[in-house]
Amino acid sequence: MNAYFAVSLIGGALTLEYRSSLRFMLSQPICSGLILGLALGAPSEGLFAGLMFQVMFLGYVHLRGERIPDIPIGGMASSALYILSMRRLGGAFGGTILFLSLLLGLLVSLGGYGLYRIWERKAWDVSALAMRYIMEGRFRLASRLHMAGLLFHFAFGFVMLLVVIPVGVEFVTAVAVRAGSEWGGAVDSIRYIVPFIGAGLLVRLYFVRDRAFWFGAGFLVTYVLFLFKG
Amino acid sequence: MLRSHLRHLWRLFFLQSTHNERTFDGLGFFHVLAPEMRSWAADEKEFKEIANRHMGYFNANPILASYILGIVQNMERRRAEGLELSLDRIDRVKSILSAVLTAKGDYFFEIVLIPLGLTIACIFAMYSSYFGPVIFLVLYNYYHLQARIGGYLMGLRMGEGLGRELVEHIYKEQGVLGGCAAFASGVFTALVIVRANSFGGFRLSIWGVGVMAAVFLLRRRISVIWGVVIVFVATAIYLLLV
Repeated sequence: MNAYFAVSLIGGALTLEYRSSLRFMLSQPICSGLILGLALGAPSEGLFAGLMFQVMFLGYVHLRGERIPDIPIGGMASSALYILSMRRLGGAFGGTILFLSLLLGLLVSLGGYGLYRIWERKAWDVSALAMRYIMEGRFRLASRLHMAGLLFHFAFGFVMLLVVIPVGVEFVTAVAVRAGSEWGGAVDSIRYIVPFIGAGLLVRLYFVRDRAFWFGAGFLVTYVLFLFKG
Repeated sequence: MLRSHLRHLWRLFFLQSTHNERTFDGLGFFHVLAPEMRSWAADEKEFKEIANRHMGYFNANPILASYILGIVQNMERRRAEGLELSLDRIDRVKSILSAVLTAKGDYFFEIVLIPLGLTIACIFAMYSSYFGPVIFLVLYNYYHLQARIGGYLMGLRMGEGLGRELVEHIYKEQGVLGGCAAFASGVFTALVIVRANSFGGFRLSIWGVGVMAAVFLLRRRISVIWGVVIVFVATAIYLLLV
């Protein structure tokens, strides 16, 4: 099967998993990256790319009423772009490819975020229609309409990745080839900096929640251990 | 019996298919109860009245909503069998449990369990171990499926009697797990600093700590996605310039 098509199918299925209330958490970037990696024959690269996207949102907590950033679709886009671009360039310019994949993944997250703001407003029309069917006694039709919401979620993930990944791979590889040797050394360290974003969110989460003692304990134990280990 | 449960159980997993800004999961709530709803009504008029009550506003944590659905189904069944249960009482139990279990569920799953599981997963994955995602999925889904399936069946068996006990006893371990989550986060932060220091020296780790501080402060002012984008782009520019 074509790699882009496989990625899109997985993307559709995992978007459905995230947006319906299945909630097995397979759509979290660290899991979806591994799944995409397994499907594309590069599990370690998938895990790594998924990890990098995941750590940026590690301490993010979804508060009720807050608009949810579309982390899963961004994570999938980022992982797929990283795996496919690395494959095309034979593993060269890893740092640049990672940087561009994460950047595009973030933009896809923003796109999903915007699109679902519109969908949640429009979904009321679907619900209202289903309610009308129920009052008319057309119960099966109302149920089907409710389940049809799943088709939208699947189609969103599928189409988004089907459009973004082929174009994105071309873009990432073209930029990596042009600027990779110039950026190479500098951008390589992005993999060590990105986890600090998640660490910042975690610090915020646990300092607000009065768990500073346990956070500090974990930090000190690990740091001292590494200090003695050298 | 099993078949009857399955008819409702699979629907629980699609509660939010038509999640919207006005009735939230109202239609999903109706969809779960629908297979049995006709048997609660004496005639078409009563059926419409029951349907109308259960397709309105419903906003609860989707995982713990299973308890509420089980309890409401039990109460409606008993009412249909002739027990004195006012409609007002059913609606009140539904709305009170929605509010209380949403607060409990959101806190336990969103603030304690998911960050704990993901932090452990990321620590393992930083050292290229596949165990991390597996541990996360097992830990999360143990509680998730227990609440989804076990919660529904328990609510169905015990009815409104479950409500008070549930609110008092559910997730008593959240204090311990919350401590573990904070501890794991501390471990993660220390590892991130150690790794940055060993790769890029003092300068890289200081920039990293600056990134942490920026995220910490930005989160107070703007949404998480914009905060991450700004810090990520600023970091890239810094790395390219230095």
